[in-house]
Amino acid sequence: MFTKIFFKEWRDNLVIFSIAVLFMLALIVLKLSDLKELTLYVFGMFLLLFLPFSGLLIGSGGFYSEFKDNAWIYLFSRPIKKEKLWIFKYLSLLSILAAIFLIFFLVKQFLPGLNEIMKEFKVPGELKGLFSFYTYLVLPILVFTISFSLSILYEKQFAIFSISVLIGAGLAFLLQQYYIFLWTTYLYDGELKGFQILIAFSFILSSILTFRKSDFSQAGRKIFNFAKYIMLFLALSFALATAWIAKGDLFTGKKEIEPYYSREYKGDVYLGTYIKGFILRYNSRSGKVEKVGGKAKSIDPRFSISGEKIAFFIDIKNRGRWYDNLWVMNTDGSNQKALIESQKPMSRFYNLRFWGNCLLSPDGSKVAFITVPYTRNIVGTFPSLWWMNTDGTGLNSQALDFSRFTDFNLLAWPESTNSLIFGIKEKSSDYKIVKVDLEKNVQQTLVESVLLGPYLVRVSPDNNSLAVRFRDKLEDKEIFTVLDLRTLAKRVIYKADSLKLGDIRWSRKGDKVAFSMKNEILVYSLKEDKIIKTIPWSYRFGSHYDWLLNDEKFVLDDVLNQENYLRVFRKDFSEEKEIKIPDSIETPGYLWGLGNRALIYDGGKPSLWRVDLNTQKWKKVY
Amino acid sequence: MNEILRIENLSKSFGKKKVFENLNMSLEEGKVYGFLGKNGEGKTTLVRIIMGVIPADTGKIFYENKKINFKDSNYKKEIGFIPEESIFFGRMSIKELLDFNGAFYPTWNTQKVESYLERFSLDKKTRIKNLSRGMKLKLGLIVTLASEPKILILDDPTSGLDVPTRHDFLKEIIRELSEAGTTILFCTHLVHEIEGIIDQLGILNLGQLILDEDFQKIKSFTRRIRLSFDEPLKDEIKIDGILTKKTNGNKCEMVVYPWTEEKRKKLEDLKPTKIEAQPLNLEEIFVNFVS
Repeated sequence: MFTKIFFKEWRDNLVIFSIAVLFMLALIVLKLSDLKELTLYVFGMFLLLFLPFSGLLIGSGGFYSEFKDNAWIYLFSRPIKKEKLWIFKYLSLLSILAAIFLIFFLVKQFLPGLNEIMKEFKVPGELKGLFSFYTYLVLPILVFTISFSLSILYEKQFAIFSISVLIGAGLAFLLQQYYIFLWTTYLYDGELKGFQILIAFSFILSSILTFRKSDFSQAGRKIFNFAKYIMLFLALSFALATAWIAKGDLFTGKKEIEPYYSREYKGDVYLGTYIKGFILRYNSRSGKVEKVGGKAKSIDPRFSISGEKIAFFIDIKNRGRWYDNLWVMNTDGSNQKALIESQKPMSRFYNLRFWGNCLLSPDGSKVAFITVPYTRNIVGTFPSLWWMNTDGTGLNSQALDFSRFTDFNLLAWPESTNSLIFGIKEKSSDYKIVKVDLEKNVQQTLVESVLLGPYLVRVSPDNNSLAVRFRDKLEDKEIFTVLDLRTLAKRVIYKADSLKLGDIRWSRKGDKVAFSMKNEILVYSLKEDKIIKTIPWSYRFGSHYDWLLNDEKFVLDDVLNQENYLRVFRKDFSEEKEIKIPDSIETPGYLWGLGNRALIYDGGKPSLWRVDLNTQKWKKVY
Repeated sequence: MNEILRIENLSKSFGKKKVFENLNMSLEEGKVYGFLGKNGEGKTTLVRIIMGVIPADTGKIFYENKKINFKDSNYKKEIGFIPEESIFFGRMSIKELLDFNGAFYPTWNTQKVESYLERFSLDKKTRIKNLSRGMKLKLGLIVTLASEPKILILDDPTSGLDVPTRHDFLKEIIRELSEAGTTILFCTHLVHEIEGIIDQLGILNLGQLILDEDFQKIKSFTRRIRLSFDEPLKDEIKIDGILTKKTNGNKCEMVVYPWTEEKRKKLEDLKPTKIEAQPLNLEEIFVNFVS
């Protein structure tokens, strides 16, 4: 039976397939005639117009012949289950789309030079955000499914075509609002790559149920039934996706861990997430990833960890407005409590909002943060610096003289000084490092023209030094320096007209700092006041190296012969061994050295991996 | 005789319009069932429900004592259906349609197909959209009969056809099938056509099956009674089963079913001067039943 329906549908839609073949012939002829511009044009037309259009056309004509010939009575009185009929037709028509894709891929693969030309194709600016390779493949199938599902409802193919376009646009809008909802509720921030499958299945199920159960002699009731089913299934899809995300299972294509906001603390790595009410911690003793927290709805990943405590912000929505809260807890997640709840009308912070990050003192007894007035535009307002004890007492503040600031982050709380170090960016000027004396209320600029601040500013483990790159305008040179936050002395590590600086990594003892420059990693010893090692390296931006085993070893991830490896160095930086990184780790990103193990974040397929440097065994821990 | 199809308490409405309610009927295997009703009474609706084209609101249908639901399809392998208008996919040729249709039926008899094509003088290459109504009916017959169904349901297939074609269809094809033991449900409003071929008669009127009986019995026991009296009757004539009655002075004419000796005696007690009992044809029976 399927073959009969298959050939019938192919015959009815031969014209569309023939047009696809013509497109391919045109591409071949143009390519062989070396008409590059025209080739790109035809390719663009095929990809951006013909593919989705043919999906719509084939789908909307799904049951056109049944309507046109009034063949429903004939068809429904045949001994075949209606759902089988629907599925056979769907698959037959889908095969036409598949065949169009197939001939396109065959031409692309086997016509010499065509692939290279196609790589030069640029989606027009306005459509850039809408189109990716994923869209090229998924969109025609999705619109085909929607229009085919609708084609049982009405006889006019053009009407079904138009309604499908409207529904598609409507769904895109709905999806966008849904993403905003996820983002504002801190459930998730990103695109749900699999959601289109749920939408497609909603339409398929609604159409099959309508086809199977409805009285086709009553058109109005049939449409009503379909509307009933599709609303139900779409609502279920959204509910299912939301519940799935809230529960935490990763159904999406977007990473949930924010490795940029990770902190290594006493041998464990604490990782921030945007979508959870907790922080993830890799426990190096148990080798497992644990959840820390959970009382708060979601934790801003810009938490601070020090003195056995974690301080963090959360957002609370109350009566249509968002309010900021400051919380603390122990590093094991116990004793979670709110220090500031600005949603309470009597709170001093009711009309204020937090800005940037919070910062714990080294012993965890104090926490500092910045506020600005609750207005839409912060430029022109004066920020305030606040600090308080983590037991909730001793709240103090100081106005900061930076009315034109646009970015602000607290950096360090140096020992034996009653001061805070922060970075600030003001409008029309560069990022700079400032010290504020909390007692005397004196603000002092320590470093100006900081490059890539705050991304490449690194505080030493003891909070007393700052590694930073800045442009010295007098010398007209870029300088990589270590600033002593107590004496304010600057130690020039490297100087050049232009520094292509990658990451900066302090040793655990704070006596060495590793930094990458072009195709090298350089290690500077503060004690010896010189570069003690230069390691050739395949440069990539990000955190790809670290010390471990109490600074006895140094490890980095590198690319050798187009494969990823971990290179392990001894204390004297002689190379000890290379450990192959498994191919299942798609994009080695952040690296942390913990005891005798290295922890690596795979940015390609969001996951955490651990390797034992002795046994060289890899394990996926998250 | 076995009951092959049974309908219990079937009801169907379209919106507020009630088509029929609590309909009960059964088909005996091997019999020809004539199902009469005026236009719009619900005959087509009933057969479409049986064929699973549209769902009933309530009620049950049993085929060979097994309950069939709207979503079932297996039983349709044994039921042939010729609708009022044989409609197929216009772009197909006769051959393509027969091949397409044959895939649905495991009992598809290609030799019968060839035999009927020859008998009906249909050219396989002809596109369906180019066929006349009569030719489509013939094609519909082939499509249906080649699967060798146990039941054949015909929904007024001959309306709009010319007399020779109707004659050929009714007298030849139906008779052949009937003699071969195929159960036939023949729905029509053209009463006179089925008189010579039906075994059972059902009449649908105002949503009810008002008659469901052996046709010969109906014929034997339905009578037009003409009475004449010396003087106009003072009292109403009260006997059971009067379908229609007309009184004109001292004359009275009525159609009675079932006409029995007991009723005759009752009428004779009224001392008429004349009493005549005449048989009716199917058309007259139908008209009087639905009046």
